[in-house]
Amino acid sequence: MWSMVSIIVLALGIFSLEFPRLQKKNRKKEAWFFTIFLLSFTIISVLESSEVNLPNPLDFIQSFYKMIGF
Amino acid sequence: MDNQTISPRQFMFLVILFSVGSSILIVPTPLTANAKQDAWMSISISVAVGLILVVLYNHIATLMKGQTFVQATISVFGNWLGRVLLFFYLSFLYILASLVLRNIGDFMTTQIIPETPLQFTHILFLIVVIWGAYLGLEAIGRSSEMFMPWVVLLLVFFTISLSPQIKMENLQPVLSNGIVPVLETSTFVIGTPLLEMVTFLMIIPYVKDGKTKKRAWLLGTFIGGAVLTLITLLCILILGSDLTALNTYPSYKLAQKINIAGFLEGLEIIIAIIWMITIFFKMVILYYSTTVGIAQFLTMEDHRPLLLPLGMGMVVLSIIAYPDVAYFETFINETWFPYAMTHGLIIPLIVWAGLLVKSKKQTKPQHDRS
Repeated sequence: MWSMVSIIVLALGIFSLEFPRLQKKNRKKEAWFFTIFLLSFTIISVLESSEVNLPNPLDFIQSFYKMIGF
Repeated sequence: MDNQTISPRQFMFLVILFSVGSSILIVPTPLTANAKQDAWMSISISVAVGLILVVLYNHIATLMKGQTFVQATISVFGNWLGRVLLFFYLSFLYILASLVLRNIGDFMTTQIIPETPLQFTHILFLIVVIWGAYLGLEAIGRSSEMFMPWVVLLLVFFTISLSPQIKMENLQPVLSNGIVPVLETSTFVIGTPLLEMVTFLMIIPYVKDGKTKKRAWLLGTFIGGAVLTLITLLCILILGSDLTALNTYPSYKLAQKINIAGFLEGLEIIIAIIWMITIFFKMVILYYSTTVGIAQFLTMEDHRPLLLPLGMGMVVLSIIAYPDVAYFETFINETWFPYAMTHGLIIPLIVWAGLLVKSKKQTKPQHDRS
């Protein structure tokens, strides 16, 4: 619970730190990408802290190279 | 991103720190497990292969003409095919950075601060790395000049204070199992620091001066490889190949054995500083080139807004990347080499071919005119 709250507080902190700067320079594209990255990684972090089993990219890599014969 | 440049000497220091960082912790164990007392030979072979690799990278860097790898790939293969290749390249760098973060985290939690949760070690370490990447390449280059004397000094101290305990018998018999296991294990070092050098294709356009930077890369690789050889050799000479293969961090075990005149002991934490410095630089280079790469991939003007969100993702990835040490060992022994080979050799070769064709096409019309 606490870890979830602290992750969301952290994400809001990062947002309030960077977003006004991007808005001031009128960089729409940067602001969009920043928001998308932040939102998706916040969701992933919250899932991880609530002990959901996230898929591990290393598993995919391993099974791919097993498949082609290494 | 912005017009920051570093000097060839700073670039060489970065290459040295990059090739020593984290490999110094993880290399001796698997090497001695397979090649026994001949492990140092297999490192020497891999360094020779690595130098050839760097010649190839240098050639790619010349053909890129001041563009980074990401920009060059997009300009050669176009927006879509180029981005498909780059997606794999950048994900390789990102995964590599999170594995390096996990290495230092594992080391700290098992050896130095066992009560601190892994996440917090990672977050603390990553904050410094993000700060470094925020300040940019110039600051990274200059701080490498600051820290290099420390690393050299501590390495010299490490070697000299251990030299009384060297037992030459540990190296014998030379090549008792034939040359095959030596050649087999040399793939490990080629995979771990040498193919990862592909990262520097993102850094090299920002290095001043055309000719000496090629030599700087080669020399840096050579010195980095020599340091790795020295550490492995010391592990074998002092601990013996069996004990080295049993320890997770044999070079830390080695530092615990330092004993100067019977009263100066427990200096291992001073030696651990070498690893923190080198791993910090490896992380900062990887993190900087990943964020700059992603920013150029998305045609953004500045990489700085991406630093903090990507850091959040990296902490999660480094935690879920492997559940235990056994998983990591099978991954690094079996899958890492082909994985690094695909991204460190095959993708650069494809881009190299594309660049060659492109540069030929560009020079031909000029010939026709003249």
